[in-house]
Amino acid sequence: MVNATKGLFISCDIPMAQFIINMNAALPQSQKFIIQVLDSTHLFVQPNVAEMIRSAVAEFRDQNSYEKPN
Amino acid sequence: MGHGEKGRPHKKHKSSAKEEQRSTFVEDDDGYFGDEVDDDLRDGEGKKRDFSKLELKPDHANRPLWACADGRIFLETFSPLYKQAYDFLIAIAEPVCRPESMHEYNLTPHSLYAAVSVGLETETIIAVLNKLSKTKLPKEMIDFIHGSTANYGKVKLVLKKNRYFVESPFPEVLKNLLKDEVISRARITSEGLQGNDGFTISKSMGEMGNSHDGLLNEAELAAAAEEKETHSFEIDPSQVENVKQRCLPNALNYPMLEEYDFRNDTVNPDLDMELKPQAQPRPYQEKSLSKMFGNGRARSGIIVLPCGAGKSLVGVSAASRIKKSCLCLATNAVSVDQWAFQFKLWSTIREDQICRFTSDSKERFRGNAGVVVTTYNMVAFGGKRSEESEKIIEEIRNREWGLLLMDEVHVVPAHMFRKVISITKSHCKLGLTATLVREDERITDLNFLIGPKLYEANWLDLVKGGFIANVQCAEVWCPMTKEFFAEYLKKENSKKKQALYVMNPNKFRACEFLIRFHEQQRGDKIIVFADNLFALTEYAMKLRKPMIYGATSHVERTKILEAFKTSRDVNTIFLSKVGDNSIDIPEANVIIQISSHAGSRRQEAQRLGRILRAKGKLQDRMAGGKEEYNAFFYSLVSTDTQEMYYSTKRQQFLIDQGYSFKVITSLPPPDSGPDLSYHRLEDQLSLLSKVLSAGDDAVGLEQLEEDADDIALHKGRRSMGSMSAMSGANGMVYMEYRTGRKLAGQGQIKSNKPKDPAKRHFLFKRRYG
Repeated sequence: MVNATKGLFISCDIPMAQFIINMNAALPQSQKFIIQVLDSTHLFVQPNVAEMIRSAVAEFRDQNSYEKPN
Repeated sequence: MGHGEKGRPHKKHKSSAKEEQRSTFVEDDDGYFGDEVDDDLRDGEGKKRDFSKLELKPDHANRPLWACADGRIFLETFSPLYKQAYDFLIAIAEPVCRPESMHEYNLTPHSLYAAVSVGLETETIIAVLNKLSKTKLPKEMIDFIHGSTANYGKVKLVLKKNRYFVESPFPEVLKNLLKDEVISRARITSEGLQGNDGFTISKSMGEMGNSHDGLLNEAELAAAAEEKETHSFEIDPSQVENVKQRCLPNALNYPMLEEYDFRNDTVNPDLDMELKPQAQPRPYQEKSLSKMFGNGRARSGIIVLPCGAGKSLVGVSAASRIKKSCLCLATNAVSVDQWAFQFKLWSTIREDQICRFTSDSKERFRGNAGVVVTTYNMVAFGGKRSEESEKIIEEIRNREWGLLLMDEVHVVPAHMFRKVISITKSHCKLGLTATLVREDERITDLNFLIGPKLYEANWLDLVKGGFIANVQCAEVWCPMTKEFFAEYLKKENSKKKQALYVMNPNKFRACEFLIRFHEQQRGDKIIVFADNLFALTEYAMKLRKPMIYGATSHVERTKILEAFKTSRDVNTIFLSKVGDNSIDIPEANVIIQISSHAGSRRQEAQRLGRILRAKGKLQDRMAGGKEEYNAFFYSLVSTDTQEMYYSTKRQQFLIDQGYSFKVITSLPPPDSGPDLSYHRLEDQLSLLSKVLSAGDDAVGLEQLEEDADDIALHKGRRSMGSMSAMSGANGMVYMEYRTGRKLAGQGQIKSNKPKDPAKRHFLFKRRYG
């Protein structure tokens, strides 16, 4: 029987996919949000996590970029 | 400019306590005219960004610079007056940022102190600045210049017969100084010689004809000179530095003048040396020397020239102008040899007048004047010496040196400097460096340890003049592979992060591609830099190239460098950070940097300096010539990792010098496939497991003894990494054995090794764990 699940399709580069997978792995079982890892650049996740992923990615990027202090 | 500038945060010269306030400035850009008025009143900084009050002169288009009330000065480099304005500004202000068309400078008390010490007078500074400025000089700036320079030149520090004296024609000033606790404690009161207020008064010290313009005849001159009285008191040689510091603008504000009247020094024997006729100093070298010898005397200070621009010739010229005994300090044995060679190359000094003093070659000092070349470590070394070197150091200590020549002053930690300077007595100190930046902000110490900055060359001008190579800088972005990045993100690998991003297979492939391209297509000579020893060995082994790191012996180093210079087959060498400073490899013209010392701006600049020596024909190198760029600097960076942060930070110094970094994202080209290593997934995975199984110690950074600029490193740094650590023979046996015994004996551990049982070798876990 065919099962339909509503979700969010994420397309990103390889490192970011790994970042999201790592994020998911760090969460307790009940909060895991990845439904399916499709391939190395595509993920299928719960529909409500877009904001959370976005802010986590933004924070990660901030850590890795340098701004000249004044 | 006014509008574009307003969101721009201010310069650092204000206290850091204002830092937070400033950040709020940046945020409420919109409330510029409203809320901020309060802020303006509170700290008086607000005017900085409101330039509407500046009065524009009618002929402003012909004038090259903008002077702002906060001490910042902007110079248009396209102005016809640029050259003159630049020479003037570099003397009175600190360069902040020097890109191609617009330079930014900052007036600070230190820079003004340097200005007056090279002979510029307060009124001249203001008059010239006013002449060059497009706007009327703000009153604040004039007051600032007056305030910073008024007291200059009233006090002198003089070395006479191995004793230090503070001298001044004004007894009140000396009394003022003595009110200070530090200075009065440093004073040595000599018996008998005391005048009525305790100062030694000498009558013959008058300034010969300084204020007489040579109009008086000799008899009158002599009379005038005799009338002048100089008051002085002696101070403890070990306290000289503290006294000098107390006299700086931020304390008592009587900056001390240190000049050496070497022509009239009859006490110290002359050294017979001249520059050889073929030694032709370039214009900027002449200029820096003229700053040093401005009025026929020698001033102490620092000269800043980019690497490869001929610092040694400046040093040798200075020594041969003073013609007294000279002590030359370098950072390591290799550069000691190079300095000795430079002295013989450029000057007529005789073989027996120059000697090297290192742990390998202890040449005794003969005759009554000469040049001694040694390292900072040898002089500052505190432990027990051999009898032979004890004798030499005693001689160095007892001698009055005409010139103390200090190479690479930026690398020497302050405490070692103090020691060196307290041990050696010199009339004049000259510091040479390419990069006056340190991550630990200890640069300001140099101001009182050596003296003000006398000259700083503009890198881009030297490039344009063809004196140094025109370097194309590039940052190569290498994406992390899936497997490496997954490991990078794992918490348990936090200590291996560096190893993971350095060993990123994509980075390796990019490096291999670049080496091949430059070796085969252009016939270039390549240096690959890696701070991470694990990466250094992995890369060098895999690519079958020679490498040099801290533990490589002097003999082997020389052999490898020789092969690199002469052989057609050795075109690439791998260097750890031992190669950062002073290893002279003039043949190299490509640098590939695969890992680095966190965010150290100095290291980046020093590494670039390895390829700055100009090569090839001048006309080819000029813009539009055959080879506009003849040197290449690649920094390989793994994207999405900490390395991106460090990389940007490291580039700041070079960017301030006007260099720009080009970002390359498509290296190696996608079609390179199996030509390069680590194409297959299995290879990548085995590399990954190698990295993961290496001990935390082994993947860390190399630590060199002379390295002290380590504030730049971030907290989670590992301490030691050496070749033997990789082979498993880490000296662990010895270390553990010893500490084990101590444990049993006294229950106390004194070792610099971490004692975490989890880190112990598994063989020993059973025994001690």
